[in-house]
Amino acid sequence: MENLARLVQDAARKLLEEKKVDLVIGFEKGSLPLRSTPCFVRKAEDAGKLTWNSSCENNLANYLRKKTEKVGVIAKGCDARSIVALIKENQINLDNLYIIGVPCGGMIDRKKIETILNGRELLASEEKDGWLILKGNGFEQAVRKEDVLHGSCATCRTGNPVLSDELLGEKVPEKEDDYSDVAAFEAKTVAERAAYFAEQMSKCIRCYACRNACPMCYCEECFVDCTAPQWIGKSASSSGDNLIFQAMRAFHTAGRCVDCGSCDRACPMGIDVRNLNRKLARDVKEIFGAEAGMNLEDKPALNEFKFDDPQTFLVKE
Amino acid sequence: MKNLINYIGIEEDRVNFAWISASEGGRFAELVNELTEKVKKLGPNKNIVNKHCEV
Repeated sequence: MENLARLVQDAARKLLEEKKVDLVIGFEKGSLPLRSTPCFVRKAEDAGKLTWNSSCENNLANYLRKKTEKVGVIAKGCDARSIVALIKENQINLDNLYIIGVPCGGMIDRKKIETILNGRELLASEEKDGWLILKGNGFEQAVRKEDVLHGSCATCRTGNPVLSDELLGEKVPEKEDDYSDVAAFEAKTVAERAAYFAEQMSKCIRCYACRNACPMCYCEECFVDCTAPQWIGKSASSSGDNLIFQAMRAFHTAGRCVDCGSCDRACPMGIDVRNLNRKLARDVKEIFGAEAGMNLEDKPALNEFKFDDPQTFLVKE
Repeated sequence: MKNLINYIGIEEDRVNFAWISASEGGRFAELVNELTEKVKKLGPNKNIVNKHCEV
């Protein structure tokens, strides 16, 4: 990991020195252990601030839209897929972009770490061969990294960036995603599913962090902010309204969502937001055989029409 | 969309899609009657309610 951080710094420094880009977007060390924060580097001498570790969880594709200057970006697998999806939607100009791809073995979910620590304060952490060593006042504990990954990282198939101008480090092994969690949820009855979402959505405070963290949510005016007409209630007091917001957001990102999990990570209330997006990603894959952001050639699933598209939604007679 | 609506806990028959041409008045009426019957059988939607629409 430290080696990767050095490679990231060198690559960024070289790009800035050669004036290939005006700006490099990456991560720098946060103020707390297991925290990294997005970092914007404009001068070659500042490239040393950049880092790379298992807490670089934000999706940097979010910062690339409508940029007119030349930008270099440090992209892990999900960032690269989001970038591809945004290029297809004419939100990013590929000519102005330099992608430094970093293969990613998954990012660490701090909520899982908090559960393990059970109130003890984390003061430092270290990563070694698939293990994470948590250190604090008077304790040291090792946990397997694969046990504390974000949900989206555990099911991620594209740790290796799908598009990059240069790739740093070694590729990570490919994985498969069988969407077994979606199938298991579908097996429940309608009433059970409704009850589950009612319980989850009652926690929503409508802070819209999920929407802001999402690289695909870039509408200038979101349907929830609209007042004429006012599509849904704006207070967080109704779990029905909250669910309508989440379901419509999932629907608006159908066939576009790359399942990067940013919404899930951004949620301060721990709502199972990804559940809805995964259901749609699975359906789009099954019905149209398409996956968002996998390559530059395929058209986005819902932008294309074929005469033999299945129409399973039509009323059965 | 229909899949998602069902997934979040609304009965399958409540939302329906069909292709009907503007000239197929008879078929439209037939289908609407049929669907009205289906929805009446289901009763009011209790699972997900938009706050404006609460009574």
